[in-house]
Amino acid sequence: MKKYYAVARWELLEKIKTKAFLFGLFFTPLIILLFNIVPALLMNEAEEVSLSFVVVDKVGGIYQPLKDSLENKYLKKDKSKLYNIIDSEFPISDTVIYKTILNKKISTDEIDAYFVINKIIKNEIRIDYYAKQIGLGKDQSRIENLVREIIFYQRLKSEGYPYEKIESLKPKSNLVSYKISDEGKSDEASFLSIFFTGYIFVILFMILCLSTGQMLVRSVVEEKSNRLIEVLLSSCSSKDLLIGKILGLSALGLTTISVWVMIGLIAVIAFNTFSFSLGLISVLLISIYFIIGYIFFSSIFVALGSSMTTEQEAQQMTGYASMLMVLPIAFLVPMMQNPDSQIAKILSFVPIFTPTFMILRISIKMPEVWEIILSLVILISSTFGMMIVASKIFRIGILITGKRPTFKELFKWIKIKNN
Amino acid sequence: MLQITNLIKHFTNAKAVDGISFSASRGKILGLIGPNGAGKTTTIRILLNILSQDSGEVLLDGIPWNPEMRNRVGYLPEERGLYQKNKIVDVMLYLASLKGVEPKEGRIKIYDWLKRFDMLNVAKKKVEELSKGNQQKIQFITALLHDPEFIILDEPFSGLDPVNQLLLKDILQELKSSGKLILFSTHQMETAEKLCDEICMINKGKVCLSGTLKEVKSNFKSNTIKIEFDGNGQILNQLDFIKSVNLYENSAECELNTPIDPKNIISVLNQNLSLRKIEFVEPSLETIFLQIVKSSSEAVQ
Repeated sequence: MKKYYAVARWELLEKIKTKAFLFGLFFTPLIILLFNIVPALLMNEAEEVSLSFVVVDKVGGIYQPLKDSLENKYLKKDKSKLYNIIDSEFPISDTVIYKTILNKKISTDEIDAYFVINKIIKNEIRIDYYAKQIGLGKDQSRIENLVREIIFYQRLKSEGYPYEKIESLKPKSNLVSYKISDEGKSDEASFLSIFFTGYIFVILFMILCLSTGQMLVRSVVEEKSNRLIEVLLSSCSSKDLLIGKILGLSALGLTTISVWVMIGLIAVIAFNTFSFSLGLISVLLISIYFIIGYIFFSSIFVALGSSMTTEQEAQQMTGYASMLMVLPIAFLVPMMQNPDSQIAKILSFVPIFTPTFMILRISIKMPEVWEIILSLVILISSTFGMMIVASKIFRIGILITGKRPTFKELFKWIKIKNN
Repeated sequence: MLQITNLIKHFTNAKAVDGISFSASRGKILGLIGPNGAGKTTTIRILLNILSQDSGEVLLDGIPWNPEMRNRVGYLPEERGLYQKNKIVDVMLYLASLKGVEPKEGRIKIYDWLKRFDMLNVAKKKVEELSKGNQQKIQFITALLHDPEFIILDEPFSGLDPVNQLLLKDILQELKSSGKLILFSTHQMETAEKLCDEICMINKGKVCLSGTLKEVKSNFKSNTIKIEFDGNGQILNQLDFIKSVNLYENSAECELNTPIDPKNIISVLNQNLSLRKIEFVEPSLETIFLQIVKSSSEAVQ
């Protein structure tokens, strides 16, 4: 049995057995699912609740056609009416009176909202919408469109155009978004689902790096503080120990990811809320960035952990490292809006941003081939560099107790040649 | 055979090991003794290749250190520690696997050893559930699980109760007679004196005394005699080879000026007194240790 294998096996199996790990393994995807599925469910749910609107028709002749088309056009799943349109049964000439009455009805939940269709001025109809919650504007835009259409048809009719004929001339429209995948196939996709796919990968990446990174630091600091490190180093080389730890951690990461992916798939099937709109090549590339990025950050954590001497120090330092890792989150939203922006492109070549940025960019819009190759070359070489630096710091750092080394000392360790 | 020649190790602001040489052979116990900060632990770490020396040579059976030797060495460090949150069997199996012991074989050995220490019931417990002394026993077992030929123990007896100390001594004797090379470091001189065949005393990074216990003691010949006699003890004050006397009714402790042949002392004393008993007090290792440390710190001052 190779010694680094023994180390890796230990790191993997003993971490898997801890309660904290098991908790994170199942709790993290649950949280993410909650964050993503619940809003989606709520959005669907919204269509299932009947809404009562009062329409104050100041133009005249709009109420009835509006009621007819709204009530007939939009139905719930069980074919019952989604909208319930009520006429204003009181004088509408006095604004103060009807507003008082209707506002009260809203506050007592008798109705959900009321619309005031104002007189047409300069060929513009102003529609006022009053409700407890303004919401997404789906109801408003439906009503606005219908009112405009009704007035348009009424005008056509009064001008003597045959209404039915015009209606038949009007084509129906339906806008569906397609995202062109790598294989040239086009898949139905909404921006939201694309966002969530990329976003979820980034979030998973960060959670994984941070949680396992902290575990790694803690284990190194524990071995240092109880001097078990001496026994370990009398049994295997520091290189075996380092490789074993990184391998074990990577195996831990892969285990976690597979469990998460399985939970994700189950969720997708069960709730049918996400559509994973990524092609095979995208998924492959994302996995590559994911794994190399993971090793890169693990090396940083190894170097950190081995130069710390107490648990408190280690926690403080991993705190800073974590902040550095979470930094890309700040760039996420602007990047989603404009994946081709210069800043996103440039930052994609900075190793600490590369994994997160490229994962996101690939899921939104495939970057140029040269960008992928260059960023991978930079990431892989800096990962190797980081591993060498980490192994040097590790070699000396693991034996240091007492005072925390200064940056100058760390730099000196890095310069020492291996013998 | 372990041979160490002119080992030197500098740290940033101190010379921790300054030209140490000694050798140890199989079937013997070598005691590495010396005050705190003398360079014992650094020497041990170099022997284990945890640290690398600046210069000097470590040869095991004539061969310089190589990675394969890691599996032939068993080590119990001075500061004890094990993974606290894990099961004892698991921790032991892991540490044994790092020494090249296969899990199946390791498990059998672990249970054999635990049985010997009457600790079978703890195997499935977590390390943190054990007392310090018991954790230490576990660590001692772990150092021996892979049946090493070369055993390094740093303060193996500290923190153990007399019963377990005895058990440990028995085991060390067994290991010794089975031809293992045992090196143990301590500042408990009494233990060293009882257990070690050879001594290497280190002070300030240098070997200040080495050899078999007999050699060491004969180099530090006793200058003290205890006598019991009949007659007037006052005469002792007048003898020129006696430096000082602690006189009692019928006995005395005398410090001599220079080591003198015991035969001569007896004949001179018998001329003046009728001797009933004479004892040449052998210096204890502790006395020697204290003397050396004291004289070297005086020399510095």
